[in-house]
Amino acid sequence: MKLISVNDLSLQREGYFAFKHVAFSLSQNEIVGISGENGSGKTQLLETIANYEQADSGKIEYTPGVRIGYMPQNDPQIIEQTVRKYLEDIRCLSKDLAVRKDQLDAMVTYMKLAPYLDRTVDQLSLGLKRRISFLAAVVGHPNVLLLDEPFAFQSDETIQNMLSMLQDLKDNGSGILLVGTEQNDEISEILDSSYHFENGRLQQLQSLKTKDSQLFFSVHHNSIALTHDLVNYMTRNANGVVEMKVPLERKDAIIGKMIALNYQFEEAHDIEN
Amino acid sequence: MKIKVLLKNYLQFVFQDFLYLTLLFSIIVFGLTADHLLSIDYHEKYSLLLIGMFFLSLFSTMNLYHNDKVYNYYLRQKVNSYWSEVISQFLTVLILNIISGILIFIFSLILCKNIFLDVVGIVSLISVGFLGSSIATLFKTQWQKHSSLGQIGTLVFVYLALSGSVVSIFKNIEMIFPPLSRMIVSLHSNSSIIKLLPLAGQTFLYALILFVISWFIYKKNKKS
Repeated sequence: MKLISVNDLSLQREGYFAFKHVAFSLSQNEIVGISGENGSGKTQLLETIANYEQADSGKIEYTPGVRIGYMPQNDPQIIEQTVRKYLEDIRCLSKDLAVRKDQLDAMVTYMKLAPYLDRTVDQLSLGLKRRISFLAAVVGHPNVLLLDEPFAFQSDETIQNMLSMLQDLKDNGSGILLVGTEQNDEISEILDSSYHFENGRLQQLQSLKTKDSQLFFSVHHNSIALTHDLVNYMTRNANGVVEMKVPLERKDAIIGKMIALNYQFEEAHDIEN
Repeated sequence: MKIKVLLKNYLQFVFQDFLYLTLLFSIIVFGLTADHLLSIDYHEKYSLLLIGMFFLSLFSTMNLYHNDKVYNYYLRQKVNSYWSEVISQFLTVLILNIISGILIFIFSLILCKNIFLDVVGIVSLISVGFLGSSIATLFKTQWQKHSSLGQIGTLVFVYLALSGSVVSIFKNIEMIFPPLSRMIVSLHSNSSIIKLLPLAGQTFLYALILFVISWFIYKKNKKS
């Protein structure tokens, strides 16, 4: 189910386009990534979706019941509360829809924030504040999560933990929009679709998860020996079954060739690299 | 819960900001020293304290809205409730004015055994502070979309508050002006703080009307 649809959205600032004719959608159980250079319009787009900016043209359609959790790039709020009190207050703002208290405690531990629970948020380092900001966006258990440069100033281990939390949220029905200057391989792995901002325009990148197909054929008494190009795709040949791994786009052509060589097509599975 | 989170945040803005505390302590020091420094009687001193209280609340409330705009940009989205926002702001300025009114009166050395005079003295100060806050609230757009309109509006209302009963051409319509100057003129003509009670009531009512008008104006703007 689609949660947010962005149609032909444009925003101008002081005569310049922050972004123009942007169109994409975010669905349940989906993680979308947007990358782009500094100043390319990513944050402005996110703020427009989160309702902080008014677009000049175009439309954003929100499915009724959508609740947005937003992690800004830079939150100017001065928080003179302890981490424990602040996160608990933010959790309580979402009332029954929020994660449970024990779940919040588990998240705090998982994000390695437990030693800082009794420290004032404002006294912590930028990296720790951003981890808290990440949790503050998540604890309300939103069905749309907008994250602006969530991995900045974080160690590889913390990024891994954040990615598993995002995967978990996705599996539980949330739609997540991740914005960053770059998306490395680790991050790209969890993205379902990816876009790149250039000159204010959003371009969809080819699926980052290259897909192959695993094909199974049974060998008959009249099967002919495989040609050289087909042998390259063969991964196994035993007990009268030939197993092949082929690029998704060549799947149909190869099945046709194998049938022409008198192999019986049994089954196919799409697999991600 | 939403009101609690915002109220805590707004009170932090007010009481941990140099502007409010500096102004408050300056007025308190003035109240303690004005008799000897300026050789004025307590009516004149109280008139100056009323004006001081008005500006203290005006500037502190303006500062509150400014800080709210700068620092609470994302917190407001998390709270996501217009009425929680305005109720918290209202409670904050109410607390600010009550504390300021009591402290300024206590340290003005006007405090006496006549409890009724003390209560009216404090209530009048609070009402004038409330008036300053309501003007800042009406023109909080100066920290939002229409900064010039907000600034000009504040200046006009401050002028009207101080001149309504003094400039002769306004005499016939002074009822519609903020009643600060009326209170001061009344104090000088009656020579008694106790007689300010009805005017303090009018000032409260006037300020409350400005607050209510502001709430609906900005609610409409928020929707559009």
